[in-house]
Amino acid sequence: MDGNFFKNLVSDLLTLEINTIVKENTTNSSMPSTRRMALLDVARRYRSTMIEYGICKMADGTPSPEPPVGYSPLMILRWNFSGEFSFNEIRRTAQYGVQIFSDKLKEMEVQEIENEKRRKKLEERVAMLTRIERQSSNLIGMFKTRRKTYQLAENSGKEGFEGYDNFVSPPVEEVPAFDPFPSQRGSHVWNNDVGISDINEVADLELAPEQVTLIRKTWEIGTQKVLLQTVIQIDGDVTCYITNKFLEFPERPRQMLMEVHSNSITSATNFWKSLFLTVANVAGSAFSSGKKSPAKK
Amino acid sequence: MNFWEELRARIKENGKLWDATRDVYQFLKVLFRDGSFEVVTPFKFQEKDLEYRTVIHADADVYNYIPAFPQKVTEQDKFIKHAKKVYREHTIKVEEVFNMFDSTKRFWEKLVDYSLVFINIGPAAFSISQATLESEFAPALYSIGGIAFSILIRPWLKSKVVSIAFKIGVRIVKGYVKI
Repeated sequence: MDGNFFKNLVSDLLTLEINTIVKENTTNSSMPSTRRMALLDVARRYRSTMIEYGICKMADGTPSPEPPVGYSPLMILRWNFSGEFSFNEIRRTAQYGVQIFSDKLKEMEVQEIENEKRRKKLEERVAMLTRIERQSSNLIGMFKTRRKTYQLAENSGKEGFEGYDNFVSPPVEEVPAFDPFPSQRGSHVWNNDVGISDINEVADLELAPEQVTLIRKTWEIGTQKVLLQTVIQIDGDVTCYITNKFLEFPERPRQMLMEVHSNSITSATNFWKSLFLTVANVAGSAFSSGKKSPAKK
Repeated sequence: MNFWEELRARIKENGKLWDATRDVYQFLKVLFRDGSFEVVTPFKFQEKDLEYRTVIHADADVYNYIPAFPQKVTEQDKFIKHAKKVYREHTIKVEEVFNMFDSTKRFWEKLVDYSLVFINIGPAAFSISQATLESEFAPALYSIGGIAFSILIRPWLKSKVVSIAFKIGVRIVKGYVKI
């Protein structure tokens, strides 16, 4: 178990990412005290961003109105929670959004190439939706792993372990096709498709360290616009992303932002190197012990 | 600086390194419980509460949050002047977190050095005191061999001790956060 932990840690340490973000309200920005609430916070931000982009609407019992000619129909979000099924729906909607905006960008390339502002806006949307899609996939993966773990533990049938193969779908007469789905409290142990009142009653999710880190990072970055990003690979590749938004800043703020980012790169790289060497040393013995075990047989 | 002053300074320095070991334990505890470690430096600008926030994740990734700049250019200059001053304080705090890992490493490495000196010094002093021109130099040679062997294995031993200390630290933290 320890060996796996260090192996996971060393693979997480293969890249170093430094992000610099300008935030309007930086105070009182601590993560919610429970992981369930943090996930709900992430899902809500994703949903509201996609609604703001005009690609979906929350289920309210009515079908999506017929879109005007040339417009895409709205997707209906029936999951209002933050578990595997909710993030699956978010991921699908984000994919749909990427498709819509990418098509618009292609059309623009032909028709209105001079409309730079609109093009930038569409590009930003595609980037944001791609992030939502990617992060949702990571969270779905996390829930799938949990589902498997609990299945293997033969907990099926016990309270809170329901819905391994599919969510507990209520009869259509109870929840018509355009109504939101109900809270899946029956699966709360491995999943988080539960409403707030249930979140307050059930225990928090028990997660592995890398899963806690995943939630934390997803929550931290949310739908915020990253101005500067540097990614350093262990093989020495360094990639810097400079956004249009950063370039739009006046010179002095831009200088300050760059200074903060550069300082961060220097100190984080030293820390990363030190941590990597130590963890790799520990994991090295785990790797070699892992290699030895088949030979023993 | 005389011998005693130097010794006191060394003890003080090593005491600081031990403090860093304790801090690393706290750091790992927060890291595994919350998935990251935050360094926050709050400040005020024109009655507005602002803060610098640096989030260090368990995989060493770093997110920097910087408060938004005022819209007016005249205010921007004032803000940058003030914010730069606060940022220097913030950098020191962040550096402390980053450095505490190295300080801990240094503590365990020094512990190896001191242990090796302690193990070798007694037998060496004894054999030198016992050695006469008439007697055989075998005991002295043994202790010289011991010292040479210690010097040879020192780098390997250091990395081993640091790994073991880290492993034990993580295990204690894992027990604490019930992973």
